[in-house]
Amino acid sequence: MMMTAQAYEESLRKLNLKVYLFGERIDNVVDNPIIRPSMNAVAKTYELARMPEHEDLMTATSHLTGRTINRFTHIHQNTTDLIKKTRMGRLLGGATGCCFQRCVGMDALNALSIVTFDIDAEHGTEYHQRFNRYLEYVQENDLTCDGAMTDPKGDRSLPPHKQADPDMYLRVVEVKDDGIVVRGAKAHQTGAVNSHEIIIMPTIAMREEDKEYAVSFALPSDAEGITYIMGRQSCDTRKLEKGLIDRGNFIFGGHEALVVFEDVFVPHERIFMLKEYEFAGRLVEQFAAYHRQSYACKVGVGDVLIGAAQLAAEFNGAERASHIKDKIVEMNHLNETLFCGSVSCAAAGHAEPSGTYAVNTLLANVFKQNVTRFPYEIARLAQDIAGGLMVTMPSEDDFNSPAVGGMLKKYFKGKDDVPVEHRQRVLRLIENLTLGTAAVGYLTESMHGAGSPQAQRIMISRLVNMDEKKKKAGKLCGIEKA
Amino acid sequence: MKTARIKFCGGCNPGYDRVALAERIGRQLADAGYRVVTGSGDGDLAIVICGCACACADVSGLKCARIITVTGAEESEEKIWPIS
Repeated sequence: MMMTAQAYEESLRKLNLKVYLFGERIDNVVDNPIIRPSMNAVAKTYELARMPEHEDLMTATSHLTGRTINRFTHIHQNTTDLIKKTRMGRLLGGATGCCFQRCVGMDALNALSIVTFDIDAEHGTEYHQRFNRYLEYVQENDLTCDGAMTDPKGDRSLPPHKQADPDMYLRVVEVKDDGIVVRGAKAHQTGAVNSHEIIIMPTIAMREEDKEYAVSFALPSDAEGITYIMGRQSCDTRKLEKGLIDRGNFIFGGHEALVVFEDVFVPHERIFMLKEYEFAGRLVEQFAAYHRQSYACKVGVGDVLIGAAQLAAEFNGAERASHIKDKIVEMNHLNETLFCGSVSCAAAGHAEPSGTYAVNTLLANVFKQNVTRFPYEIARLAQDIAGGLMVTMPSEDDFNSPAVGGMLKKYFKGKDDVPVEHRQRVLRLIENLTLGTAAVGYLTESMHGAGSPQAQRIMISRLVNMDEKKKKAGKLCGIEKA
Repeated sequence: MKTARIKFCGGCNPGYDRVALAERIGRQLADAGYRVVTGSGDGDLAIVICGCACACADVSGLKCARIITVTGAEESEEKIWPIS
């Protein structure tokens, strides 16, 4: 049954997570002012699913039970589902102005629905049936899952089994009658402490020597032996200040954490890959393709930033200047080009043997490659339009100061009919998105999330058919065997 | 009493306020004697409110004698007014 946003929040309060922030353990994760905005963003995925005006994107029909479920727990059954996933990303990015964290679990579930089937076909195992039981549990309880792939990786020139510290990649340290014991860590885990479940996948293709590292499983996020260490974000301590304006986006945000597994027990029924090393690369590629498509969320965040830039121009009386209009056009062009990429890789999707629909891998990689670039240009243009005041503006406290507040309100006035506070608010939002806490999601996550730019270039190089291109060229210019 | 259903697209990037339009249409239909409900299901009439010309709302769950899709306020005036 689908949860309400309130029920989601209450469900998080029941978890016993071991979370560290600024060197101290956090007892109350949900109400921590640094973390709370990220919980609000995930809660939005629950809230919108229950709204008639969004249910068409936010919900789906489970292929397992036939019941209505949150789309974030759905296995794509056709290209319409894939396109709706893209649209859902834009919707939520625009509604929150940040990373809403729940796509990664959806992508892990879909990748596993494909690869568990393939492993069974090759090895006669029963992973797919086991996975479907787990999936039904996730769907029925409307759980948020953290999809955890990225290992710390240590020396990048060495495979897992040759690392000086064998824990640089998460691995199996013991096989028991009823399960396995694992040790290692997963880095950059977006939304980890807002999740009910954590789904582990290997991070690279592996050979037989690395088979102890070829492991995939799911655990409750508060399983014994898991520790979360929260990442810092620029301007994060503004969330501890009493005012709201200087936070830019004072409702929503994202978070990342290092997740450490210290000899954690995984029961058999939660294991989806165990030493089938030849499928590690396939799982990585399937997950990566889905997750690269997921960056449609940045189009929604781009909508927010473009809107903020337009407001900033209007508040200054500069919106009719031809160069401003041209910059806004360019921002929209870049943003909609991104949307085209995510829609196209979904529209050109296909059915895998498991029945799950996968995105077009080449187009997903081309799209994500653009995501590593275009938000930076959109952000640059937004800063250009915003002007220097975005980074020189005094604090909210100064604006409220009896001594200097009047001066600030006098000299930072733009158009006469626009309150100075509106300029404060929109400039702080642009700051938030382009160099504050939200820039983590809009910029650096766009660069490195779902794989750094070079990972996409490798995939593009592998997937384009150069022989056919040479043949086409040769045919037109009279070369028979080009 | 006849039943009119109002169904929305998902609203990824709507070009106008779909909810405000739905409220207006709902009032018009209620004044015309319809019982107005939201979502998929049976009915005499369904108004599908889409945020753009793509009109991608899933209408497979609508079992209504007549389905009218609108993609903007002006269009809704043309299509809904004769009914209400």
